[in-house]
Amino acid sequence: MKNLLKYLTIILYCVSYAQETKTVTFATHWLPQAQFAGYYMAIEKGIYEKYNLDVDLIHTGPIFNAQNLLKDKKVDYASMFLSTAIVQWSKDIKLINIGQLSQRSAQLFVAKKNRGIKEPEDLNGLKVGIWKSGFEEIPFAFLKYYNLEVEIVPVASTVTLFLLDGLDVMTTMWYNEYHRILNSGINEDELVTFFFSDYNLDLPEDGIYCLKETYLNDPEKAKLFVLATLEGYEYAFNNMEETVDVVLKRMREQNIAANRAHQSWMLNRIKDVFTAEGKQFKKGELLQSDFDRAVQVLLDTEKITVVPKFNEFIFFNAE
Amino acid sequence: MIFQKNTLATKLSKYILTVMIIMSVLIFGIFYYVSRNLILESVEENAKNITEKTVNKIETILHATTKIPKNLAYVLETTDFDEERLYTLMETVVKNNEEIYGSAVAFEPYSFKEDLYYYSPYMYRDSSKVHFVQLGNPDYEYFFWDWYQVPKLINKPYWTEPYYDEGGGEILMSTYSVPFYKYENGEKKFWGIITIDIDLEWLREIVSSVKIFDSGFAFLISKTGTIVTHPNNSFIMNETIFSLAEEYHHENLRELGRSMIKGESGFEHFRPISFDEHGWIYYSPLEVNNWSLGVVFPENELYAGLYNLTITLLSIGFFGLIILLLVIAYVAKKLTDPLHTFAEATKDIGTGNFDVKLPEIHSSDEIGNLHDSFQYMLEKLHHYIEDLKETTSAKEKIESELRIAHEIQMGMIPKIFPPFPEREDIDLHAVLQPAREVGGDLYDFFFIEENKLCFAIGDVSGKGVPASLFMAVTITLLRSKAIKNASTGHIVDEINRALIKDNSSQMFVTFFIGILDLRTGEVEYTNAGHNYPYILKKSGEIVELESYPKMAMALFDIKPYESLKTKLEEGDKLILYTDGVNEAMDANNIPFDYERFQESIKKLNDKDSIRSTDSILHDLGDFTKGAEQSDDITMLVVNLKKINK
Repeated sequence: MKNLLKYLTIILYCVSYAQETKTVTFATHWLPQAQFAGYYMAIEKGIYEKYNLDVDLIHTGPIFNAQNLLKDKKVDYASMFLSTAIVQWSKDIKLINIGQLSQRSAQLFVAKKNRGIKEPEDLNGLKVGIWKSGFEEIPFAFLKYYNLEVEIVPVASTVTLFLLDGLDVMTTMWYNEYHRILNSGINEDELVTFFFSDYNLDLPEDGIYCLKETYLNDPEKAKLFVLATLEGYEYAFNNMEETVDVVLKRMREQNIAANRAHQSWMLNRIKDVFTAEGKQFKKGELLQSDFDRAVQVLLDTEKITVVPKFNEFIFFNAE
Repeated sequence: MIFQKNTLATKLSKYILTVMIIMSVLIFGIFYYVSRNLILESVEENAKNITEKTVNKIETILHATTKIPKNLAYVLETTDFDEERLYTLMETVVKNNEEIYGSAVAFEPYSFKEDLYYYSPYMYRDSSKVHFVQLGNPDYEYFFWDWYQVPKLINKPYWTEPYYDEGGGEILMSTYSVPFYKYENGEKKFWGIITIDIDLEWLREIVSSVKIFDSGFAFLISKTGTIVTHPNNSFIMNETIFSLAEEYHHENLRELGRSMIKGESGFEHFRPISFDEHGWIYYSPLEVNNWSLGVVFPENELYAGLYNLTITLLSIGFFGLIILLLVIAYVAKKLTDPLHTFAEATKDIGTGNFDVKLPEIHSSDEIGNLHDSFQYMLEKLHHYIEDLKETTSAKEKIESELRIAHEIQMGMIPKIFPPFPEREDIDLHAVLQPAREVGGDLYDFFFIEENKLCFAIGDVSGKGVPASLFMAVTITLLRSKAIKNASTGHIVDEINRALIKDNSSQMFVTFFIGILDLRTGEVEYTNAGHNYPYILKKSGEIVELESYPKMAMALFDIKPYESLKTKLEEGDKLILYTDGVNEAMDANNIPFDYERFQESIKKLNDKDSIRSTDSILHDLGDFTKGAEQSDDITMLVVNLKKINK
């Protein structure tokens, strides 16, 4: 009886949305790469179509960012770091989280071993490269918690300055810049790493956000978009080779340098942080503990003054 | 057929081919190894030349280009200028240098004009016109881009990683950035960056013009390992040498890349990912921008000449060996064919057919010699067999004659035993076993008077027919000379004299003669050099019938032989013998000798004469155990049973 009801619900759900294909505009928070493989595969494999969504995907990058596109209502939904989103909320762009993808922090500081750096304290007085284009909240928190006085060098997007010794320490993403450094000829054993997740700063990153009013206008569309995206990622993680092919194709279409080794690495690491082995969570869920910790870190580092309540920030905690 | 097991051809082929193959492999191996090394040495030299020549070519152009922004920096640092002057300078740079696509002079915030955060005029070429644009704006904060930030922070001019031109065309570009400084109150202060954008198509052309055989190539990587030029266009700007190493799980390639970006030069064996086979690479840095050029030599093409030569040599070697095998087979067949005929002929000869036909051979080699020898052997064998036939028939004739002679000889000595069956006083028996068909021993006995028994034994020197003839003569003489009333000494004298006459062959005969008077038992005797006979007394005592040593008969007639006397009692036995008895030898050449003979005689006491000779012969046979008899064995036993008083 219970099952029958469940099937009926699903059928009704499908029937009511079957006729109408909804248009979705979505922005990633960076340039095309394997980090966004779930969206690509949901498009490629007709998953959005299955959910009656027609998704128009655009990429941001170092020059313009996703939060501004949301604010200007250029897109319906956008991916964003949790910390970025909370900061934006605090700045009065009332973003809400409709789906959490990442469950772990993938950010780290990297330094060359030959500089004699071993402990966080050793960073004192050094030149630290931090992105100018966002995602900088947690690196700053790390510096603050360890009371480090460093020379901050804002960097646009590359690791060249670090490779050529213009920097002592560089902020990197484990799935991206860290591997770019390896693939510029520096061996792992020649590097010292400070994964923020190892320093009580394991804050989830990528999530799907929109303006509260966008959500309230059509909550079902938002839910379908999140569910389809989660399915897209599931497909991507189960079909790595095919996914990397799609990623490479998309990158080349946009004249972005791309190679299989790097995108394979990225997809694997994204899988690691999205699936977060050993962590208890529902698919697409942002745990309140993670949210609270993020708020606390941002308060401590004075990145925010106004604090959203959990239920003001989360409108659809997927599954 | 030729290469059957164990034929000469098979053996020859086996040995010669084995040695040839070992020699060939050895020579070929050394040749291959040495050639390969020589080729490799020359390739390394060649690779070095090609690489360095290409590097020089690129560097010459880049060097000249780098002087332009450096000169401009010097002008800006040392002269006063305003906006107009700056634009003029920049326009001149772009206009006058075709290789320069564009040039920017980017200033630190508020440092060119106090109210301007961004100030970065950029002149660029489009068709033949030079255009102007300001680069800085909130969306393009140039201060944070590599072309600006890197030279600023490393305080050195910097070549950016190559990139494709903004227009989306496939033109490869790189920006060369030179920092310039302002001197205020004697203090050097970073002021900004001068850039020139350079079209690198010419560089790609230079590098891709390096052709090594069919699949060899040159490639260029940047300071961070990015592939700048490569025959595989999809690698350019997309891959680093390290990402390729990772994708193809090629650890050596990563190590090679690390050596290259460190600015090292070298010549290494490695497996390029674009080849199935191994190759060699020579790499050398471009000092001007720390990029690195690699020239790849495909190994299979490198050694293609050697491989072709190798295949040719192997083919020649292989066919050579086959030809050698055929030649060996032919020669062996030619050599062994006559041998087969010889073998067949030998079988025929074996059956006694000497009319076999030998193969026709006219050569003067060993086979020719064999043929001649075989022919000679055949003829000789033929003659020999003919001779043998004749000899055999002659021998058979002689043997038959000898048999007759033996019969005659045996006929000359008394052979009927007991010789005097009617007499009760005497018992006598004699044996003669010649060593050959006819012998030289003799014995005889006869009555010269009613009660006087004459008996004799003798041994002619030598054996065979001459000895038997001499013996016959002696017996004949004995018969004629032993007459009534003649003494034994006289008889011997007579015989001796008769024998000496016409004895040109210097033969002689030892001789013992006795005359037993059966009325008295007295024995008159003469011994001409013969063994002393034994007397076996009835009591069992053995007495040697000694006499003065006398010469054998038929040698000299110097002194007359004298007669001696002894006396036998009833029951005594007189035993006469030749040296064939005591000198009979066993297989170890040990003689029977007198002691054993006497022991044998002791056993005769109760035996009559015939059993006595049998007993001694039996003992003799036991001793010699069938060893070949070397001399005639003769014995005569006289058993005096009764004296007729």
